[in-house]
Amino acid sequence: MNATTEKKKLITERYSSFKKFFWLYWIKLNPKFILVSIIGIAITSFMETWPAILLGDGLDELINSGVTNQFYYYSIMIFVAAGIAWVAYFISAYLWTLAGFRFERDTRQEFFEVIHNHSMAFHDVNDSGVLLSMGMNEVAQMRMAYNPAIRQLVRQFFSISVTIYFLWQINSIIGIALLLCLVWYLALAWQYAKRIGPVRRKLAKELGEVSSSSQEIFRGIDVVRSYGNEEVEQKKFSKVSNNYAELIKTEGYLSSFYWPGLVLVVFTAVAFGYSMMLMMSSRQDFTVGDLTKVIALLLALNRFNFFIPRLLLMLQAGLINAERLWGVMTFDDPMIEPENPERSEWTESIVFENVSFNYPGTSKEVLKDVSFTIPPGSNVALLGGPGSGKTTVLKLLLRLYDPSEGIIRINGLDMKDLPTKEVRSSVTLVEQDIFLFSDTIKANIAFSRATATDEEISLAARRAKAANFIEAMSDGYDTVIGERGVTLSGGQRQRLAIARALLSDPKVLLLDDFASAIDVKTEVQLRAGMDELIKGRTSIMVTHRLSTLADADMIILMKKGEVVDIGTHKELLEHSEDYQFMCQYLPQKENGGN
Amino acid sequence: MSHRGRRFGGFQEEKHQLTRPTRKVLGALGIFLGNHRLGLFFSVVLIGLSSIASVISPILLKDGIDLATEDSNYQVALWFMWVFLGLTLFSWILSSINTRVQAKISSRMLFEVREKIFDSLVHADIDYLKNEQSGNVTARITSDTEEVGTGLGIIISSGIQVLLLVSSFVIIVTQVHWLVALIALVSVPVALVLSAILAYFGKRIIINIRRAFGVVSGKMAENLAGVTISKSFNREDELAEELKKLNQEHYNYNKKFGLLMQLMMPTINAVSLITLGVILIVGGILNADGVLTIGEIYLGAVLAQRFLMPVIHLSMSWPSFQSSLGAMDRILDVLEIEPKVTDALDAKKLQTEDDAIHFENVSFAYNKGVWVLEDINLSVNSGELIAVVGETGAGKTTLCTALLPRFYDVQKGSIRIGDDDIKDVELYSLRKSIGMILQEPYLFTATVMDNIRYGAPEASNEDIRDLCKLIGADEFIEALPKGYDTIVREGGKKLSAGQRQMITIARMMLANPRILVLDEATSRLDAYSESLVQRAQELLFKGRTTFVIAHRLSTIRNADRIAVIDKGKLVELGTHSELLAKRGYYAELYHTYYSFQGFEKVELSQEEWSKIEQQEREEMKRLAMMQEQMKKGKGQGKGMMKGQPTPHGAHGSTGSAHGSQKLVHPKQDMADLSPEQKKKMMEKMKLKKGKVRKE
Ligand SMILES: Nc1ncnc2c1ncn2[C@@H]1O[C@H](COP(=O)(O)OP(=O)(O)OP(=O)(O)O)[C@@H](O)[C@H]1O
Ligand SMILES: Nc1ncnc2c1ncn2[C@@H]1O[C@H](COP(=O)(O)OP(=O)(O)OP(=O)(O)O)[C@@H](O)[C@H]1O
Ligand SMILES: [Mg+2]
Ligand SMILES: [Mg+2]
Repeated sequence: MNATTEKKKLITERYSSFKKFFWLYWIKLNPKFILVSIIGIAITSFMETWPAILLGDGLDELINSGVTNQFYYYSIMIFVAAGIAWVAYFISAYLWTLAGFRFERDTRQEFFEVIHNHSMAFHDVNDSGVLLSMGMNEVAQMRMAYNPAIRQLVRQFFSISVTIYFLWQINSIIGIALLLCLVWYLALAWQYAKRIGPVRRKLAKELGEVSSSSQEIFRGIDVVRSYGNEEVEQKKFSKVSNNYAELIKTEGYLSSFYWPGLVLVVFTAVAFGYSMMLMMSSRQDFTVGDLTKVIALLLALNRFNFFIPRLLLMLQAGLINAERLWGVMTFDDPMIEPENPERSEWTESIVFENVSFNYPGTSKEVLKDVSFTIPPGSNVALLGGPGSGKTTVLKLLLRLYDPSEGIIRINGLDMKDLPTKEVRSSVTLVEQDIFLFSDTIKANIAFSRATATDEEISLAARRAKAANFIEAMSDGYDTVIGERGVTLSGGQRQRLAIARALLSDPKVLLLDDFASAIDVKTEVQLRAGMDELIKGRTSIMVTHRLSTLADADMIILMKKGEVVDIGTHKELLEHSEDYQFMCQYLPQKENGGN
Repeated sequence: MSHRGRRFGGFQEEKHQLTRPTRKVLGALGIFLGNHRLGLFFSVVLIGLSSIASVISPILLKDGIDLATEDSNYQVALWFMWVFLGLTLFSWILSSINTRVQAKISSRMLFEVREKIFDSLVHADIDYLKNEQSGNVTARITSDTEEVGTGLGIIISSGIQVLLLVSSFVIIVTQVHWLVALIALVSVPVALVLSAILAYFGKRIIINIRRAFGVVSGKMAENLAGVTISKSFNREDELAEELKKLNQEHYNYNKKFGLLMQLMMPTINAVSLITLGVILIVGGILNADGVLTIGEIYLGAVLAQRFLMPVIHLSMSWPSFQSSLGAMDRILDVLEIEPKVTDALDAKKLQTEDDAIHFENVSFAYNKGVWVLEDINLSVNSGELIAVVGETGAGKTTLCTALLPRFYDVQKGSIRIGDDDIKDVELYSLRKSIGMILQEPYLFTATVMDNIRYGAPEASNEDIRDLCKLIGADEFIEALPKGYDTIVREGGKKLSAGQRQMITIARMMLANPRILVLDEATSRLDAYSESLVQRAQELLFKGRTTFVIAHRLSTIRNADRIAVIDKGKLVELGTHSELLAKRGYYAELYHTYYSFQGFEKVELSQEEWSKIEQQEREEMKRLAMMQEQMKKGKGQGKGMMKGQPTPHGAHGSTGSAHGSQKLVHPKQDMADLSPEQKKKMMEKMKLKKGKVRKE
């Protein structure tokens, strides 16, 4: 049943364009449902239209012969039609609905998987709020294009066909005229949908604007207030909100004077007059019953008129969303997994050979011709000003990006020949801004290794000096952190991150200036945890701490994306002016209090 | 930073029971409608006319049919056609105009509701805003407002439906037969029962669907925010698996809803057809008795079906009307917020003479009974640089960035600036006088230039450039894709951590405040950049009262005085050497830990370790107790100790070049500004305030 689990091929590989994706994929998911459904809809449509004929026949019978058995037969057939319509409607609509929801579920899942698997190049340029709204709202809108829009359109199609057939039977001229009229009607209606579609889209975008601008203001409310800018923000918001209101108005204006509707109204009136005349001129073949049939059928058609514009709009929105999703899912990822993947043991040096790098979508080189060699097992410190490229170096080592120029060699192999999974299972990063999931502490630690046992987790926590505070919490390792749970202090978060990194037992450890944000006592504890972590592996850390620098086997001094010097603390103190300069600003140990 | 995910309004716990009487909520809706009385009246007139037209036209059909059964001429047929056409056109035009009128009214109404909510929120207490789950606040402004809009729409359209209902009924009774009217009436209870079923089951399922949707959305948001981490740990597949489960749950609820709806819809259609059949039979019998004409039977059949439509319409919109009442209820919660921290009636501007700050017997609790600060007595002289030190959670941030700018009112004691109690001062002038760098850098979606200009709208581009040069930020800003015009997005995700902090520093400095509060302002900077910032600070703001929260010894040591806060109490106060001589808390901290900031590693003995661990355990117990208390009190504690999860993200230290001997770097001077330019900046900073304090 569940197509995503079985199939290997992605949507984007199976279809060549968003149109094919839109029209074929959902059918492909549940072809039987759709088939049965369509038959059911056809039956429903017939059964719901037929009573108008029965009514006419019944009235004719009444006029001609009074309340006969035949009259009862017609009346009772209306009940029969109602019953059959009920069953057919339920089965077809339910199956179709299921197909729609399945589409929604599977597409949402696949959308998430695909974009989540896109490399950082993608996530850097795409706003995560927009992606979220695509994954949630736009997928839902696509589903609405199938159910109810297409289902109802199919239903209308059958009903109209049946109506035309019946009218044709009564009077061929009315039948043909209706057919032509409907073609005209649909053309107008589609035109209308096309005109209003863009406004709708703009509306959705404006609403996003309203939402994100208010979100931003309230998240930063302390900043807003501390600068006394409440009124300023209010004005700004008012403008955004007013734009939105104006658009709503425009949309409303566009949807008034729905011209296609006029076509049907006029046609009904004309057909009414025409049938009356027919009846008066030739009583034999055009009966009162026929007149009521024509009118009842046409009035029913007018009722569809109420839905059709909405349905067309939904369909349109679905198509547009399909195009947008398609565009995002087919992102041309610059990060390419190697065709002939190599394995590396990470036992030898890590070498940067003339590496230059600019973030995808930007032209500024944030690393320029960077070269250095990190011997295995060594303990390297990265030092440099804000934006000098330290974090970027670490990201390249995780293969979150590939260098624009130059090569990173691991055991002599080009890193591009190593699959990202392979690289990331050997390298672990403790980030500058710790990210924890709103989940249990246990799950957060085990994030680095899903298979870890409870003992391993608590051992890692102990080694990271985190066990203590965790165990003091009422739920221990099962304590949920995040919005609806406990809030951790900076130091505690960092220790969790270290426990997480410890558990993954990496070959290479990357630490990004993680101790800058905590008080001394906590830092001392953290250091103890970190020493555990560094033991016996290559480590590269961004730091501004003198003691760490002095301990490092090698310091890489960076400035504006370039490596300006490399050496140990002692060497650099001797020959590097930049380093001397840096060092004089680093906090020094003092000789007692003066 | 760390929980960015929540920004995108993931899971939202909503209340599903109204907390006010329905009458009150309806009344509030009425107020919004009331503002557009005239437009609404016009709209009602239009609706009335068009529904009369649409009820008359079936009568016309009836007469046409009856006429055609008798003998008549073409002229009559044509006449009928024209009248019928005229009527339907008339009704079409009226309802089109009405759509327009309503579009205008409803867009204005939405706008007004939104403005009101925003106004209320932007002036609400920080306390309230921080305690609301992020995402919830936005939901009030966006989805809840939309829902209220839907509700208003339903009220209006219900009016139409009721009109149609009544007029159809009247016509059936007068034009057709009471028996037919009775049959039509019978279908009403059936529809009502159906709608009751729908409301009962539907409401629950809808709540579940919403919840499940919120969970999926929250999860997806979090995963997108933490994409770097899941990539670094190769966890994409597991996360996808997790999402799949939630997705399936959402699907299961959807399925139930689908079942309910698809049982309901054909039933309604069936009822309508059955009514038709019954009317045909009854009408036939009555016709045989000569009571009803064919046209009248026909009219009865048409109207009976039309009769059902409003009933169905009303009952189908009942669930969404209910949920819009819920939304209105939540909105009322917001509209009825009474901010506690407001300008006093006789509030005056903050005096401009004296910048001394006095905390007198200040005690403060975020949540009743859980004292975060207790009995703080601290007097800071005008122009003094005071360092505030203490462990995580000691209350430093609370003291300096929550109480001083009066984001919260103290429960006991008072805070004075000069002779002015801050409660007697206009909030605007108080906050404008205090410049803060918060622990967590926060940037808006705007250009770098506008971000820096945030606190000083009148500053020229040149001023901003000069300032950035002074603190060493100019260089990297120039290097951004569009320099100062680069738009910062998503809180600055494309900037390095240090760059973000630099911009907040520039923003504060440009605002040129009288009093400065630096909460770990340079924690993300390297020592050199830090020194630039510090020198700029000295150059521009020397002699202004300054609070520095810091962990780094060099900063602390160079402060005029040091305030040590431990668990919410001011335990020591004095200069560095005084405190060392005292051999108290600070001295211990200094000897055991601060040495760690130098070359040596700290080797802690076993006892020292166990002491630390002991302390931590006690701390945790304390926290646990607080949680308990919070749960008991008021029962509104969602977050625990902190309303917002992140404030602990960015501690750090403000180092300084003072005290150590300086090498003059051959290549760089501290800033690329000429002495004249520097002087110019200094002048600017002073002139703007119109007050120069000599120090
Ligand atoms: N908005 C809030 N609601 C409830 N409790 C809070 C809130 N903000 C802070 N707290 C609690 O108040 C206490 C003091 O917090 P504060 O942020 O002032 O500490 P701090 O000394 O600045 O610590 P740090 O060094 O971690 O920044 C802590 O126990 C904290 O959990
Ligand atoms: N995702 C991104 N897209 C585009 N540019 C980026 C991105 N991330 C960082 N940059 C830019 O790359 C440069 C280097 O940033 P990086 O984060 O490596 O600095 P850093 O040395 O770690 O600085 P810090 O000490 O402040 O953390 C900066 O100029 C930054 O603006
Ligand atoms: Mg960095
Ligand atoms: Mg703090």
